[in-house]
Amino acid sequence: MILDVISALCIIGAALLSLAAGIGALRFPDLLSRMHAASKPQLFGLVLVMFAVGLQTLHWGPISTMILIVLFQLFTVPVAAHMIGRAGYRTKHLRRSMLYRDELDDAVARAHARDVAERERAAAESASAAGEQDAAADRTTHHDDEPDAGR
Amino acid sequence: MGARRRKRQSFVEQLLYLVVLILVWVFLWDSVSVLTILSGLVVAFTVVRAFYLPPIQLSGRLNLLYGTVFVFWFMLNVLLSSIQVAWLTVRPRPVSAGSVVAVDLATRSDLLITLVTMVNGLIPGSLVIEIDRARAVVFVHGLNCADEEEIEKVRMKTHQIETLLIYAIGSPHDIEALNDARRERGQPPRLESLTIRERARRARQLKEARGNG
Repeated sequence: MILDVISALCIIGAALLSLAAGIGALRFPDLLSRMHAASKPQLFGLVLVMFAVGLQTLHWGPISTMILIVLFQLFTVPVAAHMIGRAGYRTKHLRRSMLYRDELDDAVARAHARDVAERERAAAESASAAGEQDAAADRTTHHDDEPDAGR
Repeated sequence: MGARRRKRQSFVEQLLYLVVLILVWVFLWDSVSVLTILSGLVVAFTVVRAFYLPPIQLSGRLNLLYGTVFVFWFMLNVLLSSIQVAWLTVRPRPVSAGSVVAVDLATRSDLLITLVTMVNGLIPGSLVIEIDRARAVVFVHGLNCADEEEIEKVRMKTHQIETLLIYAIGSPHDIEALNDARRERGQPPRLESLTIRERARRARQLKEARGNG
């Protein structure tokens, strides 16, 4: 009896959370906010349903399988959410107006500036190296008879 | 000696993978018998050999107290934040802008950065969207995060996850780095007796005592 009530409460809570996830995916304004709604409340809802089913069966067999289901969800859902959020950010599928502050943008700008500076330095170095090589080539042409001159 | 210890540790880790895989196999078959365990051993061995993964560096320590605190803290947070996010979806006022917050982590361990990212992704309201592996910076997107106070909250929560995880399973190096970061933030350091620095100090003291005696 008490177990039935607890299971019923769990399932109702899970249903409400899944409903909230659906509404959130619909109502939230941008990709990153939607990722929050689409991935997390639903996961907790699933855990609640599994808990309720476990309370109802109380056999080791189904419970062990459900533990596995929950564990794999715990491992995979955050990775999926992370990858989608990351891909969304990188392909610029985001609304700037829905970001109050974006410290990643600053970091990307800094990294880009660093990259450009490095490339310029490398270009300058290779230019000077090329200059030296030309000089070396000149030397080898001048001393053509020496076998080690080119090395 | 160091090489032999490393070899033994990697052997223990391999054994750990095998045990976990056999457990999954037995759970899937719903029965514990000689047949399932033996077939599980064969499957686990094949999986470990065929799908070779880069080795994870385990720290080799586990603090049960902090581990338990972490598990309960995590469950409570998932519960409370789920309700919060659910309320955000149904309240009449639309959700306000979010923020991407850069959070510096003290640890440099791949495993811990991954775990912090995953736990962050499991707690509603925060989501890691990018990781700077070399500098150990995670970029956390906070839902409905449009003022400085909320941003500080996201930062604090990520630091809290890291703190609990390091005190639960971090290596002595991680604890030391974390304690340094905590001192900078004005928080008291903990578990200091486990850090490398403290161990070196104790070893020195022991040596001096022996030298005197």
